[in-house]
Amino acid sequence: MVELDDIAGSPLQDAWLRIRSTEGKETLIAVEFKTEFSPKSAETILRKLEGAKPRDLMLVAPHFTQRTQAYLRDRGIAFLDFSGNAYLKLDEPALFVSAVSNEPAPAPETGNRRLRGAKAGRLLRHICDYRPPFSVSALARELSIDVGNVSRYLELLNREALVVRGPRGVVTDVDWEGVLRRWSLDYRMPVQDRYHDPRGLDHFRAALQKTDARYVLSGVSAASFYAPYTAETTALCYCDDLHSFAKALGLRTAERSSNVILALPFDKVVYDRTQVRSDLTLAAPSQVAVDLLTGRGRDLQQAEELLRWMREHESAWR
Amino acid sequence: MPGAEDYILARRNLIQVLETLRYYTREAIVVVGAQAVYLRTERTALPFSPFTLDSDLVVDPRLLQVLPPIRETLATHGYTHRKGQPGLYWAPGANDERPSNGAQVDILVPEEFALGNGRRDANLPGENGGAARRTAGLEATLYDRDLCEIADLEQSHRVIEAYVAGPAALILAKAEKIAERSSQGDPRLKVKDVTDVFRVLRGHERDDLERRFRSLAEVKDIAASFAHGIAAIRGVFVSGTLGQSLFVAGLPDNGDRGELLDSYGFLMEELGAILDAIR
Repeated sequence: MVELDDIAGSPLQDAWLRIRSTEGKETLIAVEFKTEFSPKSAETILRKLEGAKPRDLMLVAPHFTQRTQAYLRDRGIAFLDFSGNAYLKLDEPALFVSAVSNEPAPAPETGNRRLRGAKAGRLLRHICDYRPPFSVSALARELSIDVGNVSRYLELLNREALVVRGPRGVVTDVDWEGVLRRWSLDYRMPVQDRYHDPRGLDHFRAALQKTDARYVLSGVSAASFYAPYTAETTALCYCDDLHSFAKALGLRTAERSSNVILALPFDKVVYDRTQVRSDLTLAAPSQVAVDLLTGRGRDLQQAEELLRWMREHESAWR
Repeated sequence: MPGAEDYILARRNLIQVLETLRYYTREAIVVVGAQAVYLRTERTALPFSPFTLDSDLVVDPRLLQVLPPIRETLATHGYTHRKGQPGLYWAPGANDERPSNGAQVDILVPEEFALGNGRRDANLPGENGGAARRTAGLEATLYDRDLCEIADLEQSHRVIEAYVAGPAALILAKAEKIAERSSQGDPRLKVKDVTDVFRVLRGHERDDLERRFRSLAEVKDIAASFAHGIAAIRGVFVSGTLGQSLFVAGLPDNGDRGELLDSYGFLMEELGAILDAIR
């Protein structure tokens, strides 16, 4: 049997959860509600509760990111969100609850919590592709982004424990994999269209090898050069003008199935730090990773394989 | 379904008959049929297995030397007739009692260049009764063709150079064959003839195809058969649905189906546009 006692006015927590077994064993869990949580704020709450053991605490919020869920689970802190993710482990009474929801995270409420657009992308690519330290002013200067925006993005990343900041806000460490995963939640290509090379992907790749037009190959096609895992069924290619590029390469607009996706880059950084293999211009591994992470099925599996390669061969791309 | 061994032997048989005929001027002999399709599209990966293994050669009676008679040359090297038919042979080692995959060799003459009034015999000049078979739809192979290296699939050092029919000629020949068999209700109408055309289109750039069709359109000697072939292409592949229904029947039952079907549609549209452009 489970009861939720709401003790108003308690200075320490918002409510208590009383859990009692049929044998009479009982435990009280402090419940803390918040509109948003991050690993950092969880730490603050723990410090505030002082003396309360982690398992006596349950955090409730509209949504916990996978990252935060993992953080809390590792520390034995119970949680529950409105998407249906839950975790609770008690010894007395013996109780174990674990639920993982397939519901996506609700869209962030305010614009500046999104990592979308050219400036955000340019910054995220930079801090992934290069090694810290990064100062706010240097980033702003090098990337032509105003200091305010740089600060806001870094603060968001800091709240989600994706970067470590030292004195004067200098970024001293970056969880680049976490950054890419977080970015993929917000990442969008400004324009993309589906096409068909009637002669298949081998032919499309051969045409890319010969073209003078600027392009960058991403997705599974590019990943297969870094970390081969799965056969490509669709090529993802960034270019400057979809229509003229398609025409130059003999692509047809696809009505049903397509084997080529052409996309406009969200920022010119898509063309930075590319690699050439077999006369093909490949996007930087970090770019390929975020493109794969926004896909589904095989794209996601390839993403995991690419990220594994990136972890094991950081010096090859960073 | 043939295995790797069968393909190796088939290629070897082709090389062997070409070597047998090496005395004759190279320009007089052209490799046609499925072996030509696969020689032209070796790098085109498709989920259709090639499974015709026979060797088909077209000879040009205007260029082929009369002496020694080709009939004699083939007989001396162990080639025997299949079921007594003109132009149809078994490679050495095989015969009507002991048939063998990939051992059938056909010596063909395009109908427009065949002589005499025989129904099947091409009536090659000289002592060549029954040596070659007259066949419609192959005229273009004497004009759209290229000298190619043909290598043994196992012993790659064993190579011979010979003319191989070009993509335009191959498409014309296949279209003609399908149209003829369809009009006769011939049960030999096969999916693989359509997939061979698809393979040829996949393996060649549009510009190349258009250039070849345009060149063929200008050859007066084959004007009648060319027009006939174009009509067959339109009827089977471009405006008609026979090609598509045969193609669909040959598609693999997997996720590639949609992509291949779309590819077929686009390539046939392109073929139609090429024919319109050369009118």
